[in-house]
Amino acid sequence: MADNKNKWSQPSTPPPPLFTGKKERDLVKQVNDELIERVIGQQIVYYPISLEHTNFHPLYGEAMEKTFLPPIRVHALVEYEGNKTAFMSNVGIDKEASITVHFHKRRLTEDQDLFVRVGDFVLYGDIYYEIVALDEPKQIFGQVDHKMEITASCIRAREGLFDAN
Amino acid sequence: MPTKIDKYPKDSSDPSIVSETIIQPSTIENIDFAMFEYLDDQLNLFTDTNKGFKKTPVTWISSERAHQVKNKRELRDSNGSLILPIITVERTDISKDPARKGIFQANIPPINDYRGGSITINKRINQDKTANFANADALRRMNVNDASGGSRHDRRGQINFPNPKQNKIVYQTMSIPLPVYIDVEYKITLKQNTNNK
Repeated sequence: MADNKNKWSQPSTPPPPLFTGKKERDLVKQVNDELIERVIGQQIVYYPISLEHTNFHPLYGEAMEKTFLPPIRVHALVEYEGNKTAFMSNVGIDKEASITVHFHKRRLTEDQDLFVRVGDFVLYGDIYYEIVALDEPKQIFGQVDHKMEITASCIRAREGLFDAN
Repeated sequence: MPTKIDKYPKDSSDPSIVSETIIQPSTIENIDFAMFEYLDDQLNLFTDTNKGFKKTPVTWISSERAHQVKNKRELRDSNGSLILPIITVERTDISKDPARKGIFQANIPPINDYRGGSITINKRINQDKTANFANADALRRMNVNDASGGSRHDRRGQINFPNPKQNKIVYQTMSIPLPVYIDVEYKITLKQNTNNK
């Protein structure tokens, strides 16, 4: 007769990874928070456009004046891509500026309750930029449910498009 | 059957107005709305999907990014990808072809008043003004007859006695500007998941 005390039992959930569990992910978040906010210190102001309060045209979906929810100061890594001279066809000399903002996803969603969307605006320096593309290129420890960052490609918003003042 | 409410619009207190039809001006915006509503409401296209027989959504291209992403969230899945099938409409060109004159082959100058308008499309009797003329005529005849010692009794003492020869009728005319014919081109895209249908 087998001893019931030594009988093997299957755990209800699989064991966590040895070295890439919640504690390690929290360590990554803590290190990144400190690095981004206390060492590098770049920051932007995020303007979420309010669909409910903005008078978008019912067919064309355009609005002369955009209403935004309360802006939020966000620490992030900003790649400045210059303010280049460009030529607008049939018009003339123009300027184009763009940045890429790397948001720390967990800091954004868990601590600041902010969700990045295409079409929202950010203020970096004294220039407003519109978010035109988003990407989430990295996972933490290759875990599909845990993303490291949100990368936002932004182009300069002309004064006629958005002005928070 | 038309009811009394249908016959006399609520916003009109004039009982002489039997019915009113509001004609929208043919602006580019209204033409675009008409095209969009024709696709969305009149054609009302449905398709077989793995979620059943569903209406195919129609959207207008080239709205602002925030509006595209945040409006009509049912067009996208939780990841932000568009759910197909979908129909999109885009206005690609507007041109005015001088060769297309329509039924008016030459310029018709507008009516010389502050409202303008070149082509009369309807008219109706202005009851008040016509009655004023008729009353004035009747009064004048009654006075003339009195002066000549004449036929006051013919008019039964009424200053507004009916005159069968009344021909001073005032009309209210409605006119429109000379139409401008334009060609508007739309690009309609039907996007679906598979090509086996």
